[in-house]
Amino acid sequence: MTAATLGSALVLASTGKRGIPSSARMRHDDREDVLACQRGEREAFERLVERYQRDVYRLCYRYVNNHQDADDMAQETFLRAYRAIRAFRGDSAFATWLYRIAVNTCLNFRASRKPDPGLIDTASAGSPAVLDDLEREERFRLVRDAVQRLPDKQRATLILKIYHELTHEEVAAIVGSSVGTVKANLFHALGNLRKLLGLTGQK
Amino acid sequence: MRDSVDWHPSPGELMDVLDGAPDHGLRAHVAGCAACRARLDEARQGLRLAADAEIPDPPPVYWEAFGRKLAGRLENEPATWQRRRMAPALVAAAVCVMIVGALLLGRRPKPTPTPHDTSLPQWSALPAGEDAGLMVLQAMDPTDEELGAAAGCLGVAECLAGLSEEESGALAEALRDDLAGGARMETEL
Repeated sequence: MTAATLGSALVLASTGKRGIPSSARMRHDDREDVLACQRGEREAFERLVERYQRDVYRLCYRYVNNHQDADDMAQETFLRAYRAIRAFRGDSAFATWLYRIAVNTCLNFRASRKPDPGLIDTASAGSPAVLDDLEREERFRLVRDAVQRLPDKQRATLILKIYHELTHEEVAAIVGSSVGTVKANLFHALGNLRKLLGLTGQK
Repeated sequence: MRDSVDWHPSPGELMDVLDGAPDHGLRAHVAGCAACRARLDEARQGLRLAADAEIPDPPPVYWEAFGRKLAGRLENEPATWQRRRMAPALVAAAVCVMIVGALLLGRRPKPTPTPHDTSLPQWSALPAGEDAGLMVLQAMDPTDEELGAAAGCLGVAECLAGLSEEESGALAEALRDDLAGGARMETEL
């Protein structure tokens, strides 16, 4: 294992999910479509939507944990991107820029819905034995719920790094932190996730 | 610092170890430090748990509906190039409104004179219709302040109050002469 991170390797091995282009350099087709969109070609924006709708939807789903809200947030994300695309100068990859909009949209949505529940009492979460007995889908749901309960920055970092395979630098650009903070947040997020699932003291 | 017995890697540095990044001696520390090894194991376990959280994939038909719905919403949005063209026009319109507003404010009519302004000044010895000087003054429509300013004071009342005893006497004399002249004219007529 060289450049690939252990985290990414684990996730890829276990989920087989496709990540967004993680290169800081913008994809050529993105650049062409962004320029065309800035010239007023709405079809170019539709191509961008087609290319990123699944990733944006999945990112939103990780935040809101249900289909209906994820759909609303993904729509809102693209709407905001359309309104702002004239100001996009290509300093970052289009995907990074779009993800930043999605994260902000989801954070605003969560803030307007209810206060962040924060870390839950680990005693109220399922015991490891119970967790082992749960059906696969139920286990997924429990983990997703636990991710929901992470503090904002930890949650954003974990989602972007683990589920969307962005680099530490890209995550830092999206959440507005330093690379060192991103690494620390991810480390804390992983530890807290374990606690939230009631696995304290288990190996 | 790192040689200190109390030193332990930061969470960010432990993440580097987890990532497999160049360790700068961190691995050696972790290998010999039970506390750091435990923290690293916990993070690894968290990573495995995080991986176990697939989300349901919507069916392909959903994405068609998603695109249609978004296209419908974009129809109601002014296109980016329309906004760009409209921007100078909006600025020009705003400037025009400001200029017209400033002109209208500048040409605001003078306030209509109050009854006090049109009343016969106390110093007029003649009926208003016969006092040519007063008629001229009324035609000019000066305010008390304007009259006073011409004499170097704030108003007629202040001018009169500021007269010395000598000046007051002279003014009274002149007024008496004026009245006598008017009376003579009436008799002659």
